[in-house]
Amino acid sequence: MGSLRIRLVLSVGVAMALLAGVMGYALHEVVRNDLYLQLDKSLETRARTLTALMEQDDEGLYLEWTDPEDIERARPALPDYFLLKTASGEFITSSPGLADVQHGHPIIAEGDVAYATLHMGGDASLRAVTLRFTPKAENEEVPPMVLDLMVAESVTPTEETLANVRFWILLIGGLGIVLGSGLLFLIVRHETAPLKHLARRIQTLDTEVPASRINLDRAPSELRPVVSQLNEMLERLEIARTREREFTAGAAHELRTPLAGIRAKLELALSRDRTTDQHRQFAKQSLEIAVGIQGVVERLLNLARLEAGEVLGEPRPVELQVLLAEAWRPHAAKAHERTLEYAAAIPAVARVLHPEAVGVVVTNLLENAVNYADEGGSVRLDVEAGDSIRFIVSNTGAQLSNEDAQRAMDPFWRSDAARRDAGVHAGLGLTLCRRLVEAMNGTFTVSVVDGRFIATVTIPAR
Amino acid sequence: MRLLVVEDYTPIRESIVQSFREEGYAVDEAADGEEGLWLARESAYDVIILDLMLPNVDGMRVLRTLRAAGTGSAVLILTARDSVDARVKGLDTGADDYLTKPFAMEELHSRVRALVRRKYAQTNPTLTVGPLHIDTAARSVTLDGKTVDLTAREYALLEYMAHRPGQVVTRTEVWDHVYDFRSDATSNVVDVYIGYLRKKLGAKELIRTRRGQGYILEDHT
Repeated sequence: MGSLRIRLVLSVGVAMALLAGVMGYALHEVVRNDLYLQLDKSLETRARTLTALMEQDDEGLYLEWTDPEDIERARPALPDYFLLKTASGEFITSSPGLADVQHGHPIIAEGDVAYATLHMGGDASLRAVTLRFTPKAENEEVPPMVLDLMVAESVTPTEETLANVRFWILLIGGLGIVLGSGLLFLIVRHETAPLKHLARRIQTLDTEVPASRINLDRAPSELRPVVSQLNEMLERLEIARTREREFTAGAAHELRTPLAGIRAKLELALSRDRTTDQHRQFAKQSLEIAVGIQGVVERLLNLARLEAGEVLGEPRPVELQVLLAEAWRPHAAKAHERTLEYAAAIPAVARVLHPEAVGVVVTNLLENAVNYADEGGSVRLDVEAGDSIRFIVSNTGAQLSNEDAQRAMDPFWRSDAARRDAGVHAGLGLTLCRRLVEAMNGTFTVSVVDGRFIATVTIPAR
Repeated sequence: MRLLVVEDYTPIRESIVQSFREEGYAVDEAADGEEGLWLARESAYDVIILDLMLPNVDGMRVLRTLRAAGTGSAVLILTARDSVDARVKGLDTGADDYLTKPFAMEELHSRVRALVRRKYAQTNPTLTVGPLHIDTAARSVTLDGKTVDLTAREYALLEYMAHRPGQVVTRTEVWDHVYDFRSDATSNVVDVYIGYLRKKLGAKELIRTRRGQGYILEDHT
């Protein structure tokens, strides 16, 4: 069953009804036993009273009543029946009501009593007490007789009382269960209200609204862990969403500028009749921008892959010198154009585990260095191998302060000076490097010392 | 009309500059905020097209400085920032228009024309001086219903004068608004172009010389 509230009401209700049933039955049994005990006592008393009306003389048994019917009719509403036999079972006399009763002869000691219920046919039953006694004798010569006197009375009044008791037990019990269930429902509803409130709050929670939180103040202590977990989740969600939004906005911004460039070039090309040479010029410029856009998109994709966790591929050791020569190759022409001096110090034997990632990091760092070094300055790549491998890429002519250099690792951040190449360098390179290095369990730091921009990557060697 | 384009991304700057020059505008360019600010304070530009993210001096600071100095040039912000906040901030700081990248060159032209009209208190894109009609959107001129073929430079000169009909326009003003720093001509070139225009507009004497002051474009009939 789905509803906690209905489950609670039903289970407690059934338990209450069972308990009430057992208690009602017990009460009924107690009352019944008590009533029959009283009836038995009263019958026994009456039997003993009757024995006082019998006497044994020389002639035999003398009864102090003339007509047995007198005794039976003494109380017309509730007749007393009696039956007198000898201990051996010979019939002596009886009230008319018991004359025909076939009744097993009880085996009891003298002075004792035996109880029995006599079914008289139909619904009528009698409660009977049999007393074995010796009537008092006129003189001592008379041989004592042992007699059995049965006194009986209808159980109908007792059963009626019991029926009355049952009625009241059922009525009170039933009413109790109904009222109890109602009360129970109210209590359960009241006590589960915080749950319902929480559920409604969660349902109506607009996660698009920043800083949406569930209020903890009114939550009962059992719900607090749930609520606080939820709130923590909301906070994480919000942080992730903000980061995503900023990243998307940054990415869109970075793509817009070169797109605007291409569009402007092409619209200009088509705005009037142009010579073939002019068209070629526009096409060449547009191509350059398109290549720049491709670089931005590639870095964005790399970052997205990093976020998705598909990063490094299977580790496989690769000769470092070969790898780093490849990393430098795309930048050699530009370095030459800008008359930069390039020097690399790479140990002959060093190897790395994640060549693709290391290649991307180093080539990005070298690209930055070539772009931002001062004209005629220098770019260096130093590698130190040991338990871990350290790559240090540096360039002269850094125009950043050390603080700005730290911020340079944020996505899309660019200093004024670095904006010369807007649209070509989206300010993603260092972010990508840092994430890749972190994925390799390494560390990535940047600093500016004496006008030299220094990027240091340390990754475990094995 | 004279424009200043302050934009650090070379392909966009080059394209805007070339596109407007081909339409006869006098266009100067700056690749950073500092240079842009200097140029904007040196010359009376009709419209300044200003990028926001600029090296050295940020575009917003350029705008603020210009407005504080009381520069009358209309400013159109051209930026990749498209949030409402950024637009509101730009316009509230004193920009006259806002266009986000990427943009259609045609739209940029149309907005610049609108800014020029506003600057010279014109609402109608067609300027009329007597029998002379200048359609500033199509950049075409008719005289008595007949099309007059003008070069871009001649058109620019005529449009500038037509924005101020009946007023004396000095040589220096013409120089300031019709020629950019790239022009190697001297101010005599103004007289030469006025001569060309007079010829093309026929004997109606729409352009008169006010000796020692300048020229007036006016319908004398």
